[in-house]
Amino acid sequence: MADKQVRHDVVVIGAGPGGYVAALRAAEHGLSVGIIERDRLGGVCANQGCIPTKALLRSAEVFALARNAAEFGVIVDNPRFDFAAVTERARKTAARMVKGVESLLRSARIPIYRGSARLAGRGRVALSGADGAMTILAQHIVLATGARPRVPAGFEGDGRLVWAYPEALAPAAMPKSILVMGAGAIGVEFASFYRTLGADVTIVEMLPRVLPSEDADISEAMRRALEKQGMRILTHATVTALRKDESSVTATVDVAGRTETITTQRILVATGIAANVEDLGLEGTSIKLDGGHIVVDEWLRTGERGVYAIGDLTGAPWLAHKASREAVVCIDRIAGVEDVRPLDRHATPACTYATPQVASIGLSEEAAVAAGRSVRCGRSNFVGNGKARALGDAEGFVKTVFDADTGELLGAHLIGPEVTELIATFALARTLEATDAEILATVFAHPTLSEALHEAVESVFALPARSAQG
Amino acid sequence: MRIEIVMPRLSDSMSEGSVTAWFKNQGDEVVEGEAIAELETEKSTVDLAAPSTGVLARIVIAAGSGAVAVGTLLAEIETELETERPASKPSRPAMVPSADCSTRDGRTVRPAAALGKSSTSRRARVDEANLVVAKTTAPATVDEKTIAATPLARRMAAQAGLSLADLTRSGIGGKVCKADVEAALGRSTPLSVVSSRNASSVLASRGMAAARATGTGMRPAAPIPIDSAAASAAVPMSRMRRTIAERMARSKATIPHFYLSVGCRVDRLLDVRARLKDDGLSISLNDFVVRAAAIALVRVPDANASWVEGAGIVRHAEIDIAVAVALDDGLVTPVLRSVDAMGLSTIGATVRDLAARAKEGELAPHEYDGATFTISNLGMHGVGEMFAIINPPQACILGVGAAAAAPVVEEGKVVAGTVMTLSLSADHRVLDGTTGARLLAEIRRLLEEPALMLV
Repeated sequence: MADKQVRHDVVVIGAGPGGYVAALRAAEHGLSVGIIERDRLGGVCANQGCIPTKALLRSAEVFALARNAAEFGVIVDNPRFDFAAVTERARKTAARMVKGVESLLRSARIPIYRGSARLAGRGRVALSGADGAMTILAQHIVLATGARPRVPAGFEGDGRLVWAYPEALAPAAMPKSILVMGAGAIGVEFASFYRTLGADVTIVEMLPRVLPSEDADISEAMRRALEKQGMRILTHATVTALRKDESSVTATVDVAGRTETITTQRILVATGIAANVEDLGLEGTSIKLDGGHIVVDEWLRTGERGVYAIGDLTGAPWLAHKASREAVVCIDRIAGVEDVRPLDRHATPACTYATPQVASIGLSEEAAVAAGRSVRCGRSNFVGNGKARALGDAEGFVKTVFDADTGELLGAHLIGPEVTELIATFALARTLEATDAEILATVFAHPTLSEALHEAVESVFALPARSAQG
Repeated sequence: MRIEIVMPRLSDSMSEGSVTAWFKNQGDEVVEGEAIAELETEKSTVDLAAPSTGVLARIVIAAGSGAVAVGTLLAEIETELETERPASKPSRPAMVPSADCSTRDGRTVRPAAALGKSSTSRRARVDEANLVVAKTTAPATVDEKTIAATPLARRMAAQAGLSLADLTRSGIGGKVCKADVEAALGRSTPLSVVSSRNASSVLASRGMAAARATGTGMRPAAPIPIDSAAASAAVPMSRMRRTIAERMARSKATIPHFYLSVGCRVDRLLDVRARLKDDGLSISLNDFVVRAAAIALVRVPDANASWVEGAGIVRHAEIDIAVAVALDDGLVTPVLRSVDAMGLSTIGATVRDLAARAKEGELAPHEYDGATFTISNLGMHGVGEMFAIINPPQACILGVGAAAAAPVVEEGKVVAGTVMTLSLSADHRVLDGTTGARLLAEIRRLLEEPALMLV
């Protein structure tokens, strides 16, 4: 049978939050675009990541609230949870998102090709799917195949005792104890979920602190909060060996040179993710890899003419909104939009949806100092915030890092109630290049959590400068 | 109704101009659009057109009385009272030198009125707003508040004593943004400086790329529109042109350059080159110079350094040499990494590949960022000797002239030889004359005795 051929201006490989946004953007520009997906639409974000984990964490929060209802004068007798219903709700939430992605693509009349794709020469993509093989010709090929859990050798998921995040989403039963390897956002979110539902949780992190990419003050506060919830946290620690038994697994852990063994029912390996660069036909092209990621320039162009890469494929931070923004930058550039701006990673927020939540943007205090900036750090604790007190959730703080000379907002680091929502204000401030003065001049509603943002800035820039004449 | 005529802003960088001649005398009738005076700026001479029909009621700045600031009142035209307020001239793109002057209704001194009748041209609006300010705050200066800028850029410009009017506006919505101020200051953010040596890191090259995109982007941006009806000589500047202008001006103005030059006898080198050619190996003279410079930099590491604001001298472990490549509208300097580890044919092939892709605008940022030394060769154009401007933060740039026949003294006799002149421009903050001289001597030794380049 002759190879079937179709032609598009743009073909996108992968339909996650990078790929489907790229396809929709291309269609908005009037470009002919097709999208290829070998698995489910929506990628890890909709199916196994962002969305279902937020649903799980919401169940955990509701359970925690019910358990503490008496504190609010509300009587809830014997609150319990139905674990199957909790995971089912997460599954349904994810399924709705996938449907949403599909209907967006359909209403933009973007053909969805099911199958695996490989680069097959300049401007050519070979597709092999259930419906047979075909060739898609496109001047612009956008690789958006995302990433998967990166698991050290010997720690591969077995679907039973050792999990990566896909298994942790919907296990058959609630484990009584779990060891989480890796204290990044994924590890901490699952640790928080399982702990809130009552599991004994141990976190093992190789680096000196939890959420190691966050500001050191945030890491310290997070560690204290998690330990207060009853988690055991081992830093400077690595799991060196596993022994699997019938229904439990025993980890040999090296903690700063001292060895101990920890037996839990399950182990979640959350040590990082790896880009899906395999079987894409990169061999023989000028596309370069660096540490397993595709090297791109600020317009997401790879070394191969007409081939672009976006999202997790291009490296950290592994964030859906980073992928989506890269999709827009990449496609706008292809479409010839004049005023395209590359992604500003210092204006890209990062969020962890555990209890408590963490959100940050820009440089940590240490990073700013290391970059040679003289900094002024502001801080406001939620304990003094009226709304947080009324919510019964007043742990945490807002920390701001300003350039002492120019008043540039270099970074903001938040931990506490709904901070993942509050960070948007600082993201906007960064984009607008607002200084302390504009933030101070902004009126924040009372009583709100957002007042803490204002107060953090006020704590260091209390009075506007006076004229020399006084 | 009195119409005031003020010194117009004819280009982005213009801050003052002078009246060289009045074509009309006080009391003469003038017709809208008619040339009434000649104006001169640093860059050009243009005619000043009457903004309105009426009588030249008053000449405030006499011809030949020297430069006055943009916005200074030059003259007044009295129109008949019943005449409607003069319409402003048709809009023109901001970069077009226009002989129109900005006008203001003499009786209604309100910014809103002035703005209300302004054309759609941003420049026209700015000038008219300036004009109003000019009446209240003499002498006239550009009102920084009328220039769109982000709060941070505004503050940084004020701290650095820069006028917003002189800066590029690459921010969202055409605002002056932080990157524009940093570009004018000849520096990228400290973050980028720190990361620029770490070319192997994707993050670093991407961070740098972002800085380059706004600061020193090497791809020409969309050309600024120019009104073909305008006869004057201003050329629309590409982003690259602007970047070169800013960076070179700043380099020359802030870096204490010193220059050394040395003649190299290259007869032996040309022999070697010819023999290699017989063997099918095409090595250019420039490839030899790159190789010699790399080896010399290993031996004179003090010259393989940068000046970084705040940090001072930063010495580099890698020898990454940039080679200037001319483009239609400027130049780029693609980088050869770890050149000391490269053989001549690798150098040649790499330079050709980089140059070809540079001309197609296909270089990735990591391919033109973060060099430790630059070589610029104008020999192919017959230039005997050149003194290049340092490309900051690097400390040195080597200019290469043509290899040309010249009389040389050999054992007391004048004989015909081939001499190529190398000149080094160096940053005196980073190195002194003797270091530069050692570097040049080493390069010369290698070029004159090419066998030494084998090892």
